[in-house]
This record gives sequence, C-alpha cells and structure tokens, in this order.
Amino acid sequence: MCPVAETKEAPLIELRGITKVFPGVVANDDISITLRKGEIHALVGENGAGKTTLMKILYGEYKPDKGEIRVKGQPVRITGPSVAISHGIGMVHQHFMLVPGLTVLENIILGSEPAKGGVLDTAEARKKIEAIMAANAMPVDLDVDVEKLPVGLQQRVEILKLLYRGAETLILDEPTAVLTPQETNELFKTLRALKEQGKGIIFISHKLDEVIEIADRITVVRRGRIVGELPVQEATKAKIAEMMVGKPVLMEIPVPEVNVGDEVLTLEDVTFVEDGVKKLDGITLTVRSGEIYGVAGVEGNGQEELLKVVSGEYRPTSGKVMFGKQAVNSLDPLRRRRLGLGHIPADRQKQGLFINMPLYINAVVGWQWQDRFSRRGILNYKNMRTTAKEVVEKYDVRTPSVEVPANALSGGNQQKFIVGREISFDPTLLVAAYPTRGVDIGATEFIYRQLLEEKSRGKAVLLVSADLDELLTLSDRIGVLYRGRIVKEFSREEVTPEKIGFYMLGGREE
Amino acid sequence: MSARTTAQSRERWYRILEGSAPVLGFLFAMLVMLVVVELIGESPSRAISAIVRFSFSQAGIAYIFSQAMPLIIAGAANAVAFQGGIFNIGVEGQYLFGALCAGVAGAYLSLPTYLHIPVVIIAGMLGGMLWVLLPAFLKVYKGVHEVISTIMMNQVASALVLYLVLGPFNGVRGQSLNLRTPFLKDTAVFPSLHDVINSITRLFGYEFPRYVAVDFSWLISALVIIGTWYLLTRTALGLKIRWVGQNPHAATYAGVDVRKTIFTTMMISGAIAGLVGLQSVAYISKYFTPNIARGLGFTGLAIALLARNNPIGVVFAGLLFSFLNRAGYGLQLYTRVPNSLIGAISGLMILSVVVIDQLLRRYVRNLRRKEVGQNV
Amino acid sequence: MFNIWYFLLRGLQTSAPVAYGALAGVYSETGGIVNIAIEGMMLTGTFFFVWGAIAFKSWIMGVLFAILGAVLLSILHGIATITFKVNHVVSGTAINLLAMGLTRFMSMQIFGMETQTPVNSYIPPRLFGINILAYFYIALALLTIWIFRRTRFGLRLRSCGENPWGADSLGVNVYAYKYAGVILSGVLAGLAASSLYPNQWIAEMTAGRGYLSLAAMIFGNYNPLNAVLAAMLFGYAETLRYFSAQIPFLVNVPSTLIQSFPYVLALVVLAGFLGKTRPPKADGVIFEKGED
Repeated sequence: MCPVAETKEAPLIELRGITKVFPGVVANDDISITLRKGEIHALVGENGAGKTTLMKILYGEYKPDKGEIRVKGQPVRITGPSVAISHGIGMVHQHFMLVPGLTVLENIILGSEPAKGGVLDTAEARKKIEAIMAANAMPVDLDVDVEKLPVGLQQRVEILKLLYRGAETLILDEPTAVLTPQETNELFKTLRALKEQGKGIIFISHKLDEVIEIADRITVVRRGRIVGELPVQEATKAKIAEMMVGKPVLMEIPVPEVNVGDEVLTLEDVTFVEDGVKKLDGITLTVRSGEIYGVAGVEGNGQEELLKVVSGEYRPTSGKVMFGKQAVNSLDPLRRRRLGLGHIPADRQKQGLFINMPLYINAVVGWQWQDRFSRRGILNYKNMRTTAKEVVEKYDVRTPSVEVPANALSGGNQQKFIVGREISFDPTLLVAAYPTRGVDIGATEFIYRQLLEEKSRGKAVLLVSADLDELLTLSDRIGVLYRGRIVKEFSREEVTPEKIGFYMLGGREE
Repeated sequence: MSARTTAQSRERWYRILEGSAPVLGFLFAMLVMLVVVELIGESPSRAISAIVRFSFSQAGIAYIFSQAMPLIIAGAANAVAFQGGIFNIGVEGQYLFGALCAGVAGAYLSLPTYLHIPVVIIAGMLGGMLWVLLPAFLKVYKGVHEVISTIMMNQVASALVLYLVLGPFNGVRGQSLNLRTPFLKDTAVFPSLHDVINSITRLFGYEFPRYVAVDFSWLISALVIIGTWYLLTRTALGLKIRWVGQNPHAATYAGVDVRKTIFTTMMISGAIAGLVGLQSVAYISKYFTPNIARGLGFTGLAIALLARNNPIGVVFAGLLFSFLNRAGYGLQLYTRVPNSLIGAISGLMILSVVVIDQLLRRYVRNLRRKEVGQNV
Repeated sequence: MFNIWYFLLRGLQTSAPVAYGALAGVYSETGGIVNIAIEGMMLTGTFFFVWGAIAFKSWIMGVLFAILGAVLLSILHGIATITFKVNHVVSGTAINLLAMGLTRFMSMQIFGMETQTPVNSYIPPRLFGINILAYFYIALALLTIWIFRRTRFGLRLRSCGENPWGADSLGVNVYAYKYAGVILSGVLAGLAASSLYPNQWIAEMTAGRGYLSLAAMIFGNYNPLNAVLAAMLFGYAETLRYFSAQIPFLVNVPSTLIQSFPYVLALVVLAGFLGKTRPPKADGVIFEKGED
C-alpha cells in the first residue's frame, strides 16, 4: 500500500498522459485529468474532440497507446469493461446500451447476475435493486420490456445498472442530448444526490449552460488535447466556447431579411396511423417561399413520420399534403422530387449515402432520374462525375477524389456532401432533418449559411431538429411537435427556449 | 496535379487488392487439396500431372468450355440476385422447372424452326420466373426470407417434375428406367455452332471435337453475360438493383421503389435460371428427364460468390468450376484420389475466398481512412 | 386400417430431425448468428453417426460422432461469421457445399463407396417401435425455455442476439457466447442427424430438412416450444405419405406429390399464416468491438 494515498486521500481517478491514435487521427494527445470523490467534472469539447474516446479508454473499451490510469492512487490496467467495473467505474453511453427484449431487471443485472450454480437468483437481485431505487428516489417498473420505456426512464435504468454494480465513478456521455429540459432537471437532481453520497461523476457535454449549472470543474478538450481546466466559478459561456473552438465563435449568424412568398408546402389536417397508433394527429402547417419553418420536439413525437409523409415514403391516413397548389398525397418520393423536393435525410449513413459506392454515384442519389444522368434507362457516368466534382468543390468537401467510396470521408464531410448535393439541384422545397447532427462547429456554421442562403434565394425550408439553438438561430417560425400534433406555433419574435420546452413536454395553454 | 495522380494510382492499387481474394482463396484451397492428397498416400506431383493431362487435352479443354456454359448461366442468375441483396438458393428448382417447360414446349408444339427455338428458350425463362414468383411475393409482401422459401420451392419442383413426367408428359411407352418426356421436335433442337466456333479457334491452332456440345447455348451464355453486365453497370435499373442490394433505406430515400425492384431482381434471376438446363434438354439429350444434372444452382451460387457477383468474373469462375469438375474425374481416373475431394475443396475455396475478401476489405478501408486523415 | 396410435408415434419420429434442427436454429439465432449451415451440419452428422456406430459397434458412439461432426462444422461457421465477420448466409451456404463434398469424400475413403455407406445395425434402441430420441425433443424445448429465461447463460446469450454492444459494455464476452450458441446449435444438429435414419448414410439424405427446420423456427417465432410444434406440423404432414393408402382423401394422390407435402405446407404456412415475427434484434448482424 502506498502510504501517501492513505494519509492524503488520493483522487478517485487519475488519467496521466493518455495518448490514442486512430488511423490518420490523433484522438487523444497526452491527456491528463483527475476526478475526486464527490465531484462532478465536466468534459466539454466539440464533436470529435476526443472526449468519448478518452472515456472509452477509462472504461476499458479502447486500449490507450500511451499513458497511465490510476484508481485511488493505484496504477491499474483496464483491459475491458469488466475490469473497469471491478474498479468501480461505470459508463452510460451516448447511445444507450440497453438490450431490447429483456426486462428492466434483466438489463440491470446482465453481466453481474446473482446466481446459484448458473441459475439466476432474481429474488435477491430484485431486493438489491429495490433498495437502490428507494435510496436514490429512482423508481422504475422492473418487469417491463426495456424497449417500452420512455427515453428518460431508459436513462434511469442505465444509471441503475452502474449503481447496482457499486460504481463509484460514473461516466455520462452526453446524457442530456435525448432529454427534455424537464427530464434534464430530474437527471441533475439525481446527479447531485449521487455526488452527496461521494460518487465521482464525469459529465460529457457540449451544452454550455448545463455544464455551468451542474459541474464543479470543467475541462475543455480540443482536437484531442486539453486546452484548459477551470473551476465552475471562473467559467463563463463565452470563455468556454472560445476555448472549445480556439477562436471567438460567431454566436450570431446574420439572418437575411427576405420577403415571404407563396405557400410551397402545405399540410392540412394530416393524420398517419401505424399499427393502430396515431403517429401524426391532425397536423396543419404551411411553409412559404423565403421562409424556414422549424419543427421542435422531443425525438419520437412524430418527427420521423412527419418527414416521411412530406418526402412521400409514407402516405397519410387522412388529410392533405400539397406542394404549391398541387395535392401530392398519392405521389411517391420520386415524383415529389420531380416537383422540386430536396431532402437532407435524418441519418446520413443509413439513408443519405451508399457508403461503399464512389462519390460520383452518391452525387446523384435522389436525382438519378434526371435526363443528364439517365436517358432512356441508360446511365451517363460522365455527367455524374462532373456533378460530383462540382459538389465537392463548391461545398468544400475534403476528399482525394470523387472515385473513393463515401465511407472514406469523415462524418462532417459526408454531411457537407449531402447538403451540397441537395442544394445544388436547386429544389424549391428543402427538407432538412437534423442537418448538423454529429458535425463539428466549422461545418455546422457552413451548413447554417447554406440554409440561410437558400432562404434568401426564395426557397422554402422545413427544418426538423433536436437542437433548440439551431432552431432558434435559423427558423422564421417554429412549430412544436408533441405526440404527433403541432401543439403550438411561434414566430421568431415571440419565441424563447423556455416557451418551447413547456410545449415540448405537452404543456397546454391555460 | 501529381498529388491527384498518386491518389488515383493508389486508388487503383486498392481496387486490385480488394479484388484479389478469389485468386488467394483458390491458391489456398489448392494447397489444402495437395496436402490432403499427400495425407491419403498419393503423390501430389502425380495428382497435378493427372489433372493437367486430363484437363488440358483436346477433349479436356473442349469439355471444360462446353460444361461451363450451364454453370456460367447459373452463376449469372445468382450474381444478379446477390447484387440486389437476394440469396436465390432456388436457382436449383427454377432451372429444373424451366427445363421441363422448355422440354414440353419443344416436344408438344409444332412450329417452324425460327419460331420454335425462341419459344423453347422463352418457355425455359417463363418456367424459371414462375418458380420464383411465390418466393418473390412472399419476400415483398410477407417479409419471408427468400432462402427459406426458395429452398422449399426446390423440393416441390423435384416432386412436381417427377409427377409430371410420370404422368401427363411421359414420353416412354411401357416400362423404362429412363424416365423422360417425348423427344423434342427437330424444329426445336438447338443448332450446333461447331463450324462457327472452330473457324475462330482454328486461328489459335485448336478445334472443338464433334462429340463435345458446342451449340446454341454458347450463344445464350454469351448473351446472358453481356446482358447482365450491361444491365448492372450501364442501366438505371441496374443501378437501382445495386442500390437496393447495398442499402434499402438509402434506396427508399432516393425514391427507388424497393419492393418493385426486389421483385424485378428476383424475376430476372429466375428468368436467367430457367436457361440453365437448355443445353441438356435442347441439344444433348433432346428431351427433359428428372434425372437431369442436379446441383448446378448451388454451384452457380459458389460461382457468383467467387466472382464477387461481377458478370465478367462469372465467366472465369464458371470455367474454373468446370475445370475443377474435370480435374476431379482426372484424379479419380489416374490416381487413388476420389472425385468427391474436389467437391469438398470447392466448398472450402468459397469459404476461404469470403474470409480473405473480408480481411482485405477491412485492410483497404483502414488504408483509405489513413489517407483521408492525412489529407484533412 | 388406419391405426391412429401408430400414426401418432410414427409422426413423432418423422418430426424428430426437423424438431431438433429447429432447436439448433433457435440456439444459434438467439445468439444472433443466422445458421443456414444446419443442413450441412445435419448431413455431416448423419455420415458421422454411421461411421462412429460401425467403427465402435455402438449406437452411443454413433450419436457422439454425429454431434462431433456437426460441431466441427458449427465451429467453422463460428470462425467465419464471428471471428472473420463474413456474412452469415454466405458462410452457411459455403459450409453446405463443403459438407456435400466432404461426406462423399469421407465415405469413399472410409467405406469405399461415394454415395452411400454399408448398412449400420447399431441404431438407437426403439421404444414402442420408434427411435428413442424421438421422445426427447419436446422436453428439450421446455428445458431450452427454462435455460433462456432462468439461467445466467441464457440471459447472456439472449443479450448477445439482441444487442451485442450493450452486452459487451457490461463485460459479457460476446464472442464466447456467440460461439457457444453456434456450437450448441451443432450439438442439436448432431441429435437431429442421429434421429433421421441411422441405418445407413446416403448422399444428400437430409434433403432440405435443415432448411425446413429454419422454416419451423421462423413459424415458431424463434420460441423453442413453438418452433418444435411447427416442426411437428411439418413432420406429421410428411408422415401422411406412409399412410396415404389408408386415408380416403389421399388414396388418389400420387406418392411423388405426397412427398412434397411438408414443403408445400411450409410455403402455405409462411404465405398465409405467418404473423409478425420478432427475430432477435441483432440476428445476422456482424458484431465488432469498437476498435477493430
């Protein structure tokens, strides 16, 4: 035993000089941080700055190339999650790691099951979990399929998993990304209670307000390096933001004044029923030329269905979808594109690109029917390549050539490529779903400018996003989607984040 | 400028690397074969010389080419399906039923030659399409995986052709062991292409002997290969098929009707499959029999995998499998190695090709990532 | 006369290979590995049974050999799909091709005949006139349900088929459990083989029963008991052919067509009666640890 560690209590976790290199990228470059008992330590930085990589190293999911990890003063080698767990380290991943088809109880005990001769002792597990739930005021029904829980409760299950394993160090990777403001408050209450009990919490985020609200200490990471560490008392939003990006951020993007024209997209009382569930319930909205219409809401309240009803993948059960004056209910996605629909899809890897195909083919996805790409059913590769090169050059897509498959590009460049593709075909209606998700600040700003540019050119933009800042920055009007209904519509002048949050949670006008 | 050209030459190198799995897999399988030969107490050099002697004689080469024709067609049927994300394990049943239809059309219809031969061919294609219709329907409307449904259809085809040839389409009077349909009318029999082909090969000092089938089905194979190549690489439909095969979500996003495309893909695959048995029915035996060579559908699957679903590759893979068949007989005839070793080795070859392919793709993907990392 | 008791017993036996095969599918796919290779495993198992039984003059050695043969192929399937991350259906297809050649080759080497072996007289004992193995598969299905729901192994295996990344993040050795699922699948395929026709091996004698097993598994919605019941539906349909002369409405149906009954029935069932199935969420999905 190290005597120093006993007299002056050693920090819960020490990371010293952690370095991790992925092919072509230094994800972590000589990073050292510490976490003390009863402390919430926030790790902030842009997407791709290396926060998640660092935490995956601490949790044993990645092997560091260099550096040392100490737990309570003792150097340890964390070779896998089970080793991390045995050292009292637990992690809630950004994308939940719950197992569908298993009950809440099964999810909590998985990997650390109490068992006699291989047979589960669920009675004992239940007793233990119920005690933890009572002590932390975190009740969940243990016998339902975890799939059926709302996101907030799923996250609670994730935290219970850690407490069940006796974790003293809790890593939370972007825990608020999927939560409503009110659910976030609940989470923060829980975190403060855990902190009181002496747990150490590492809180990863890029939402600066939240970080300042919850953290004791803040470490800022940029491009795999630590650019600074400061106690929360010294932190301001502007200061952190500057550290994150390395230059003063353009917090305000100038929004052009545009004369609003005719209706380009109209939804009249649109209802969509799937498996007997009303996913969309009487939606009425219009988007006019020269206007960006933002759709706010907690994910899973009908965004996906709304997007698909507009793009033509789904046909509304009742109601009317119109492009201009033309009813398009019965038109498939292809015919709607012919009428001038551009569509930045919600998931670039799954929907927007064929990741194993070269860029020159990806450049025409959605527009393959145009005469210059296929005449009488015969493809014209020359024109495809020309178009691809135009998109790459005009929209600053970093790639060695248009011959490489899309999966050779970084996420931000893939997204720029898709945005460029959709805009370059000059649509009259542009549907943009989560256009900057998982994209760094530089590319985000670029994409914002492109969307505003479209607006000033008199196009109509339907913007669906989970990022309130994005919606507030870009939208002329914002509709709040809750349980398949637009429960409230705001104009740019009257909107505030608080008002949106109130309606996102199903609040009603008195 | 030079940066661009090195990027291009590097890209070309990556492509070659990605494409080399079939060669490496073949070499690996051959190595294993020679080890097994050694283990069962035969000399590898004797085995090699037996294979060479038997395969590369005048007759050997002729048989390899001739017997490759149905394999190439079966490979193409599978390759088109694979490109569209479909595992058509039912090529087996489709060609069986297609061959029966062709045999019946050739025996019972009376038409002038210039009509009768096309009708026989179309009957084969329709038979194949008919036999994939139900699995296509189940796939598109019920989400039933085509591997399961087409396998069932294979079993049903076996029983049905037996029943039909025993009953309504029986061409044998009285008792006979050789169960078959009536002989095709002369107007339906495929013409020989010996003279045409030999006039070309004579330039290289080679001639196909008369006793080896060099017939109209060669032309059909060539058209099938050119057709599938053109379809997949040059047409909008082919692009849609490949899109649906790679990522149905993205295809839907792009406005492709995924169900319709899957249905079309399966129909095309079935139509090609219906041609597999024509060489046997319309040229070699001139009747349909339930004892027609079986298993070509499965070999076709292996050929498509080996060719990585590239129609041009299918030609080479088809010739390779035909060579392997021949090599098997060579071994059996001149050494103590049984023919069936080749069957086992082909299975192993496919397995090693797909494993090596996977490893190479990952390797190249990492190289590409590195390169892009440096560029940004 | 149509003897209902004999029909029921006979059907129990005819259903056995498909029922064990369906359970083989359930174990593999619960762990997330699609197993088209069951056909090849069963075929290899049938040969190994006859080989082991004749060589050791014991039916028990036959069963052990059948399991050994099927397990060897299941390990191969595991190596290809789990370690080398090959598409599951592609690997399964290649293994089926391999099995066809391998059994013929071994038969030739061992017995000097390529397409069949000599008759084997060391067969599993009979109880009420049928293979004793035919009495165990329903119990095995119930045992499997218990294993999946009540044991640590079952919980972990299910988690690997539903969300391997989640299981991995909790320290579950996903690769090991996936291998375990595939290997158990091989064990059951070996039992399926032992219950098929232990008197003799004939080339390609499984005749698609491995695939029929998968159809039963799907129709049973990946539930062990329902899969076995579906297998019995197919098995009894096949049994009809032995009784066609005694059943009025079948007397005039040619026997060649009656043979295809189980397959036609499977198609009809899949086309007409298949509700929404829920395969494991990550069934057939290639699992990779984050860094690879």
